[in-house]
Amino acid sequence: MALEKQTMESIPKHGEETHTHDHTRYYIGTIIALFVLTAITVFVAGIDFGSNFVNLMIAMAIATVKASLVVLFFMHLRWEKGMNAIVFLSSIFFVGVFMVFTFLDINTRVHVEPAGPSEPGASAGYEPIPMPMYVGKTPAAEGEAAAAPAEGEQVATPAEGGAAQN
Amino acid sequence: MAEVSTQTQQATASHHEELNYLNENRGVKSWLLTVDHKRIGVMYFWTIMTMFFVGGVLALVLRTELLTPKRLLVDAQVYNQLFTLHGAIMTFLVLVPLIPATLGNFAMPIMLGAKDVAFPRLNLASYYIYVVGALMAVAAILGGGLDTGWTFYTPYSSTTSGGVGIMTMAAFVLGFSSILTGVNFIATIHKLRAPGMSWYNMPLFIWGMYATSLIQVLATPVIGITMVLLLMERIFQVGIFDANLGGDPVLFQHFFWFYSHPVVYIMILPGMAIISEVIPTFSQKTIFGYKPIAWSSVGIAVVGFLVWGHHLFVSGQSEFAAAVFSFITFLVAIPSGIKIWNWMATMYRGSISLKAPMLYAISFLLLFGIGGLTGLFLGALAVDVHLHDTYFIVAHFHYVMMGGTLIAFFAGVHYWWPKIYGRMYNEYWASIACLLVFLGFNGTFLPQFILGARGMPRRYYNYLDQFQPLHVASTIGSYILALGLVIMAVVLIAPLFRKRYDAPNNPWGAASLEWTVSSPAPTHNFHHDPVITHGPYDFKAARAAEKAGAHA
Amino acid sequence: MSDIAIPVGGQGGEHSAHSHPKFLQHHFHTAQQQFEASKLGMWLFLVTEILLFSGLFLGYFILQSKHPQAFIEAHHHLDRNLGLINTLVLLVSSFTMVMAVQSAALSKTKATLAFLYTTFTLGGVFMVIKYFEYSHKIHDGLLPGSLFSYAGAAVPGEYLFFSMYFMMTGVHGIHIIAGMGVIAYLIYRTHKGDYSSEYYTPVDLTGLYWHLVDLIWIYLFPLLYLVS
Repeated sequence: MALEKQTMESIPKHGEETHTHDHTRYYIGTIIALFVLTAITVFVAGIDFGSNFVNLMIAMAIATVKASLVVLFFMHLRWEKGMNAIVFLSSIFFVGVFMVFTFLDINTRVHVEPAGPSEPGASAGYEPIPMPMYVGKTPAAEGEAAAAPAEGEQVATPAEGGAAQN
Repeated sequence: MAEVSTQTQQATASHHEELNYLNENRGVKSWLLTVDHKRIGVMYFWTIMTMFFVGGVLALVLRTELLTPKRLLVDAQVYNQLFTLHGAIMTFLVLVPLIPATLGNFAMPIMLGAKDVAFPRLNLASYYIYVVGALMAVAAILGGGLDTGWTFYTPYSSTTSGGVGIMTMAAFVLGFSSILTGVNFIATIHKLRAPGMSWYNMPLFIWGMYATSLIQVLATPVIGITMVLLLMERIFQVGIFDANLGGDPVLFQHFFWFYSHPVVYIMILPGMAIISEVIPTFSQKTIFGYKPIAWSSVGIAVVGFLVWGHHLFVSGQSEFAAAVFSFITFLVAIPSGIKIWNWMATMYRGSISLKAPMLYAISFLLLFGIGGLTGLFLGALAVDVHLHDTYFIVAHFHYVMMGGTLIAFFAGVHYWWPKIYGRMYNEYWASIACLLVFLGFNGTFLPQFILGARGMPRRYYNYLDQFQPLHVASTIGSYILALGLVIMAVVLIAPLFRKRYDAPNNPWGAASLEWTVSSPAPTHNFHHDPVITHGPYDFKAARAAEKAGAHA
Repeated sequence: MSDIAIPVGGQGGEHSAHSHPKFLQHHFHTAQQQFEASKLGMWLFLVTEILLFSGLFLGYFILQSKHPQAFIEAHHHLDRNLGLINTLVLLVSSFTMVMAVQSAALSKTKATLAFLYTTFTLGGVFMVIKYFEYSHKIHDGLLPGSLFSYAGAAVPGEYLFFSMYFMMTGVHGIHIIAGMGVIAYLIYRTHKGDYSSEYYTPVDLTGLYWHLVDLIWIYLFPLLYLVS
């Protein structure tokens, strides 16, 4: 129809675009690098860098290098339009916001968790109050489980069902 | 105005026999399987209005029950379920999709000079996913109801019986619908603008839609995974949100509000977007401060992600985090303030015509002003401790959500109605309806500010006798509001029974693209690819172009 | 994704036959414009996927920081070798996927098919290994939350690790299965000869999705199998 004709004069083909070049050598390089980095991850996991947090951060850093390789080469971001890169990086930014602000709360809280019947110092150490179904199973849990019968009852119905099956 | 209407009369005479998107294809199937963004917008409109009606009736039942401190209609358990349903329906099923899915779907592609959105079939899919989500919500109501409030806070929500599980899944499904709309709109705005439609030539409505879509894409997935985690917590007691099992119930609130605070900007930004169209048009004056308004939308979208913790001030969040969140909360006032001042500067010395859309727009300025400013009180830590979970909060967010979003939506509906259905409504009765809505709304929620400041807690079934006069006033206000809404519905629906399309192409003398096509819009929006020659608020150029078109 | 693949018929969209490729939808002016819009749409979708998983990762980090000992103890129950094999399987599948995209872009239909079949198979291998891991856990009662019934738990709270393990790998596994479904569809369409250098958008977009799923696993592997 008339409205189509005006616009259909020239249709550029995909063939003119950059990403139809043969990139095989990049891909092979990427996969080799990923294998090497995987080996490094496994190797580094055996080393204790001092704290749980540092270990985690090192593992995450290596994973991020690997992820960057995937994004840049396999996902073509290296050859892409800038907008797609902005879109992708924005997700990283907002994931960061989500995590940083949540941890901002979690890490600066004054802990008012109930001390329970055990020694007062123990409560500060994030020891989990065990599930009701633990009762009688792990000796360590017994004492504390008895401390919270009130909450236990609320949650217990399905949980106890699970325990009964076992 | 007189000049405009005479020349548009001439145009009317010739176009009403033309085929348009309403009559080119007929039959139920042509609607249900359509990929036309206008028809999808219209289907969304009627579906959402149905849900709005349900939510509104629930609100009236609640208000009636609150006439007395004792039982009047329903007992306490039912009351809890009713306010949960009212909240869940109004947020998830009405306010979130309200403007983008209806008016956005209808108007945005035409305003860009495009023939459709980028992914028409995903657009239709998003509609059906919405319907499925709505049906699941209904199933949750029938399957035992839920009484957690629309916020589903743990640990209550992970232990209470009833329809919480299916309702959370409904929220998950509705999120998909929302994401599809967002992805679609962003791709459309980036890739389908007509020649000459630069970013700063876009109507501000589009900027608002763009900012909204950003939030939809970035925030909605988090509510999806939150709902999945809550469901797992309910079924398997996975422990993540249960302090008893070593988890953290406040973590749920973080997850929930990471989505649900930005989501209030999903609600209000499109409202602001509509106001940015209506005010210049009915002032016949170029918008004051185009770029600040455009970028403040994006600014609100981004800053909106950094403030969710102000919902957790009394939830056991750390004081340090609370102070940080409180500070950032105040920052949101800056872009909002920029918008308000620019709108008022636009009206200043304009030739204002008080047609129904403009009346709603002015109502919006007043009501959103109150809602926004009371939000500042609540953003202040110490004040919030006093006002948290009182009727003050209830009044505040109704001023923003209803006084802001819904009133702006009504402005938009009155504004685009001639383009959607090709018929003019009765201006006089539309104004009466607007007046009643405005008065009724203030009658309902102003007393609630006072109630809240005096300590009336929200979500309570009964209350102290001393609160009764204000509750009665609020209930009477809600009846007036309901009357206004009913009149508005009649005013809008009555013209649809007229056979003839009597609306001119450009009844308001607006300057953006959608008013250059016939009313109702043609199936493919444009017979010739539009070329943008003047800005969206260049009314002089638009008048000249229209005159030239009429003579040609 | 298939939305982008097929032209919209009906709705009064009668196109005259002239020079209008059948994959070009009526509201796009050029194939280039359609391709770019689809690509942007896919990247936006990937953003939603990343944020979806971010909730699980944040949950993991918080529970892990609260119960580091329980997480370390619990992860010993996972088989590190199987995790490593699965990592390599997914990485290779990403490689074959990107080769499939390139082959499609260069109109090498036979190579495209070969690479798509390989990718599909590797996805299947991943799921089979996952199945053996899962059944081993289920047998031992190393399960999330209230289902946890492993008698020899050394530290209370190990069920939290398995809650996260099953939810994270579960959601990831669902994505793998979905991806395999789409790849199967691509194989079908490639057999029909629908893709060439002129039009291979669905292959390209599926590739992006598949790499993202791989990328998520790159983070899951050290978090779940290598906690120290």
